[in-house]
Amino acid sequence: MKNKNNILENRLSVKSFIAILLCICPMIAHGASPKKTPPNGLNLLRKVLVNDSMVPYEGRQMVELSSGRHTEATITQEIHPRYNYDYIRYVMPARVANRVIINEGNLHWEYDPKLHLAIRHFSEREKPAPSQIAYILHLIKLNYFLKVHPRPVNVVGRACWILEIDPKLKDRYRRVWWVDGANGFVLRRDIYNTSGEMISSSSYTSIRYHPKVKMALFHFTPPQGTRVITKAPLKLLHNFHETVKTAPKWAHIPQVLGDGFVFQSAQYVEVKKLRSLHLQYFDGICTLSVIQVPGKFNLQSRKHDVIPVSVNGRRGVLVEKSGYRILSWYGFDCTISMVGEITLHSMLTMAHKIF
Amino acid sequence: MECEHFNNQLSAYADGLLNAKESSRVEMHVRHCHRCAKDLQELQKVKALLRTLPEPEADAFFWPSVYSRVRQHRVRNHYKPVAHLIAPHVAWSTLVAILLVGFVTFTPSRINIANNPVPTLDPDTLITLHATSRVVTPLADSGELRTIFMDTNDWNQINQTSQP
Repeated sequence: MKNKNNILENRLSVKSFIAILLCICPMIAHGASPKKTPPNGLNLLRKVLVNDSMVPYEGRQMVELSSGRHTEATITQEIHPRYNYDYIRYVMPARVANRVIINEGNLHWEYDPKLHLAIRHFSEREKPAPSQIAYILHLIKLNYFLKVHPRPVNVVGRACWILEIDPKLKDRYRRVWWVDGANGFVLRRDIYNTSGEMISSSSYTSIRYHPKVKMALFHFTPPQGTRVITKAPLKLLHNFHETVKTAPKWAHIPQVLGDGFVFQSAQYVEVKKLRSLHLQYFDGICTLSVIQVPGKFNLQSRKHDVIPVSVNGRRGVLVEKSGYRILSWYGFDCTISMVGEITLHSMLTMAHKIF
Repeated sequence: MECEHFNNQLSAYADGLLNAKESSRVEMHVRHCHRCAKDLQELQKVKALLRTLPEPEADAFFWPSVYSRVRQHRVRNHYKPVAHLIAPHVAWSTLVAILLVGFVTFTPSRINIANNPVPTLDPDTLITLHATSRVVTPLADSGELRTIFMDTNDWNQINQTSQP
């Protein structure tokens, strides 16, 4: 009887052990993949921003751009060990194959072996501060609807959340991102124009996080016989009041353009050998440039590509090229050109606020 | 009748708006018709004179003043029943006069642009500037930007200047 009881007890303990195991296994499996409940859209974007350029990876990226009937694909092999360090080699199309882009801290190189040409410039790209991230998220919340799909999908072996970024005003592009649930890395980005047509798709066809990389790869020395061009460094002014204070008399600098676009940065550039002002506005994601060149200029284009418009009673023209719209008109002492990807109607509304 | 037809075409001929066949027919007629030849000479003189005028700029207060005057007429019509019959004529004649002045003011600038072309800006330069500044924008699609930069005028211009 005692023996029988012992056997029964043993069986029970084995059964309970199996039962516990069966309960634990799915929990362990669940823990390995991202949470099944989708994250909040803004929290997912915060994760993307915080981890932007911080995830070490090696991968191959394919970009397809389409403009009307024309579509072009570009493939690049990329190594990114840490912030501001990149080694990017073009694989396709053939005309630019083996061209490389190397970022070694603040030193940026572009080298084309076919042209025996290297372009270098210094840039001061800094990681956005938490306050900047909060500001960007605030703008996105104001200007976009965010939606995360209920179930994660697999992209190159990684569980990704699909994030839809829909503009509240239908004058700008809609974006869909596939975000790696584990580290916030964007593995695929699709962009749709205002007519709902996909105009760009960038996706990683292979990815490996935390690769072993020799840092010597990022130290570029141009081969003998290479012509080296050094470009002026990009100096951005992020302070609006400082920009206004130091601006020439002919410049027109509004802080807000309307429709969610606010001042982001300014820089002095050379256009037609003239010191010109390039202002940049953004709504959190989409950017808009306002380039002011002293003097009167017409926009170079074929007659049938130009749409004549009126900006505050002044004659202006609108030209569409490579998916961008350029609205150009003459202010008092300078030619103002607005460059962006938003509709003509919105561009005109904003243009009236400049001059 | 035929003379009247050609006379109506003289302005278009002087502006170079007629096709080759029409132009040669006008030229043939002008050779034989003194009246039309004289009119054409007159037209060409006026156009040459307009070309010499400095390019005018529209006064910033030009259109606001037009609107306010039209609005004033409307208000007057509303409050003065007697003026109701006269005011439309006055308003219309004012508007026509202003439009005529505007036309005369703006015509020379159009002719000037045709003859003394204003320097131009290359749209590619503006697009490159726009795309370059986007690089430093957080959340910018680096893949898309790389594709845009692939054929920027930077490479093309530098390449052209580096050719022997």
